[in-house]
Amino acid sequence: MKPDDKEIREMLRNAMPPIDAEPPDLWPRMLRRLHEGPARMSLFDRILLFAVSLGLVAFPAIIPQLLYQL
Amino acid sequence: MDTATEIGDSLELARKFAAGDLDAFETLFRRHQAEVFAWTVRILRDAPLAEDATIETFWRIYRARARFDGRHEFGAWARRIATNVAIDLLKARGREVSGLEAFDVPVAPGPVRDHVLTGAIRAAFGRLPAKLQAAASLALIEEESNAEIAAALGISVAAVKSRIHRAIGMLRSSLRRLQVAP
Repeated sequence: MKPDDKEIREMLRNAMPPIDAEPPDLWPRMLRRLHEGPARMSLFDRILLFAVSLGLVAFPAIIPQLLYQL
Repeated sequence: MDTATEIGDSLELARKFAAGDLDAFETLFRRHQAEVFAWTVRILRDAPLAEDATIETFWRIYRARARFDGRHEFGAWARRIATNVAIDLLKARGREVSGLEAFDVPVAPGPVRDHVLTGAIRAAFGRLPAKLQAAASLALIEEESNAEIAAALGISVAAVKSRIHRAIGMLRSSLRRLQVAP
């Protein structure tokens, strides 16, 4: 690692110290999540998905750029 | 309990879990929730969000239970899924907030210049693409080994090094634009 890189590492560690947190008992939340089942897609999300799919069909050249961003 | 008995118990637990036994899932959840939480908090740097990530991780694990055959270590499998969940949450957070609001870690008391500097660094870090942010957080702040990060991300060690290198480059450019050394 270069000296500049070490300096960046030090800056990051000073700005964002490690978080020392213990999780609470998450099992009750987990049970609720299991009973809720899969998240349902909202109407807005469905319209957005349709629009994006349409865009990809119309302009397939943007697919590699999108994949790079993912 | 000797090692052979432990392995036998783990395999039996895995078999029950894969068959959809809720008690077996609870046992696995209680065994591994702290580990999954600790890993996601290292990536997300936000305890409440890491709790959400832990729940989402185990939800995905539960849905994929039929694919778990018990031959592989449950903890490693959970960590890989947790990393993907954390990256998804980083992407979502990047869309929702930007800059100084991206991290809720309290700023330590100190001179105003230090506050500004801390804010600038957090902002620059928060603007990194999610995959680079995850790799940089684990490598540069938490000092996890490249091999461990590679296993969690499901990529090669060379790809991890490349992500860290790109993250440092982007951070350096952002900080220079903000006239913050280096």
